[in-house]
Amino acid sequence: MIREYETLYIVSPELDRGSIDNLNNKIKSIIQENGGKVIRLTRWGKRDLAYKIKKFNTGFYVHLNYFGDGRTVSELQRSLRLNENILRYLTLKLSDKADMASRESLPDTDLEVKKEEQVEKKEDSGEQKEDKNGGNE
Amino acid sequence: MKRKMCRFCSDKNLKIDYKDVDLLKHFITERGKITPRRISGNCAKHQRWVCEAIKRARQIALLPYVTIEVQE
Repeated sequence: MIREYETLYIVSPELDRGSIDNLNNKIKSIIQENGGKVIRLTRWGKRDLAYKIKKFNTGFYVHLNYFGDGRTVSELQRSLRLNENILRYLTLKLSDKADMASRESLPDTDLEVKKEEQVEKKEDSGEQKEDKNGGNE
Repeated sequence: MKRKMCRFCSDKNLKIDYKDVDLLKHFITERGKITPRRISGNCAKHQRWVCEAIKRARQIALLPYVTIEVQE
């Protein structure tokens, strides 16, 4: 049974942007290979953690919105758990009734980080700015 | 921080979401504890939702479990 899920995970701050993108693509392909469909991936950028995880004070937050069934989620969670660069993840079911065909896959976006939370970015790239509500719900 | 009406009942557009840290910050003390209903003024239903959202936000390190030094 197909449901709508969201997963938020934290990637180690030691990775550079390229390897984070690789990791994100790998995770997206895991969802697709297991009968799921990614709606949107939102990069929250580097944020301060509320407490230390594996001695890191910061991490890259990535939010995924997708459709899938139990197998998709368990396979996704298994690979997140095994990956040492993933500090933490959280998966929630958004709705039971999901119409996979009616929702288009949207391009990856960056969430605009608020100034006080913004941690110095080492590499600057041409990021699209997105309103805070964009990736939510 | 004292309110007579539940914020979420009076504003139907206000969604409780664990990702909305700025909103949830209103409902934790400076030490990181969840404020009780008698202080926050939430109704039972919304207090429950807020509580759940805060706990989720804590799991993913968006909010602290404890704050040792008081944040200024």
